[in-house]
Amino acid sequence: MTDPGLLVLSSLAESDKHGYAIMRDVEEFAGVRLGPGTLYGAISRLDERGWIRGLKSGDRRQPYTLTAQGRAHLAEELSRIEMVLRAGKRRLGKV
Amino acid sequence: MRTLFRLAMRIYPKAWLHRYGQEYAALLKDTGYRLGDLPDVITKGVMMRIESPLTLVVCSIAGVALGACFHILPAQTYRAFVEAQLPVAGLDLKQRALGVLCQPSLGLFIQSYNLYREMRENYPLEYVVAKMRREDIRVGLLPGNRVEVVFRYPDRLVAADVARDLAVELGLKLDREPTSMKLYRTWLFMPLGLLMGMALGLAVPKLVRLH
Repeated sequence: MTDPGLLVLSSLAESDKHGYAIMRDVEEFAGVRLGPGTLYGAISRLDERGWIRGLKSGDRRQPYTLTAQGRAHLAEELSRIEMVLRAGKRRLGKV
Repeated sequence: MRTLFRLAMRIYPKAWLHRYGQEYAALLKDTGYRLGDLPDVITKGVMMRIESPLTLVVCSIAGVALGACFHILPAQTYRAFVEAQLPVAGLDLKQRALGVLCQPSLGLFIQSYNLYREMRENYPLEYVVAKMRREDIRVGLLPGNRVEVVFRYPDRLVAADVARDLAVELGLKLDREPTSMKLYRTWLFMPLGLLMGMALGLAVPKLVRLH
């Protein structure tokens, strides 16, 4: 699972974070380092789709939170991945 | 390094920078401006500029294909060239060239070989001579004290004959007969086509949006 959007959504599912915190968190839980361009490309895309939302902050670092729509989308995507995962494992078991 | 990243950020669309520029700059600062991140920052900036990747790909392919057509299609011109060693010392090639490439001398060439028939019907001889001298003849010095005489003409045999006679008139002793080859258009048409296709691919979505 290396889709940057999904990784960002998964990171924000735990708590609100700013860009650098998301980058560190994704590196920790997925072992994938998102480049700054990739990360912000994903953040802006998710923001435009209404799946995440920027929170008010006095800092230049903008924290983001997962919206209800974003949470629903993440759940949907994860169940789809889980389905593929289960099918793959089952088939591997057959071999 | 910071300057490089700032320059890379200029690639991003203005509207995007207006919304995310500050926080993006803060992220770059937090990551310590890693050189390894620079390609990622540049690539994403370029990708954001591309409004319609499909149009870009289609236009780029069309541009390369058009360039390839220009490259493959043979031009209706032959390039005859002859190389010779500069003979005796004291032969002033420049003086000889001035004499051979002058109006009366080239006029004689044109008439004796019946060159540029169609053009001569519509233009005065002076104009045809000037065109011949400017576009079709080249006399140049090569390394090793050698001289090259080139003549371009749509007829392979005539091109070779004229190149040979020009060289003889210049006082050059030829070691071999002129070589005449079909003039292909340069392979540079392909990258040029690609660039033009890409420019068109980037411009089309913007134009469509404007209308």
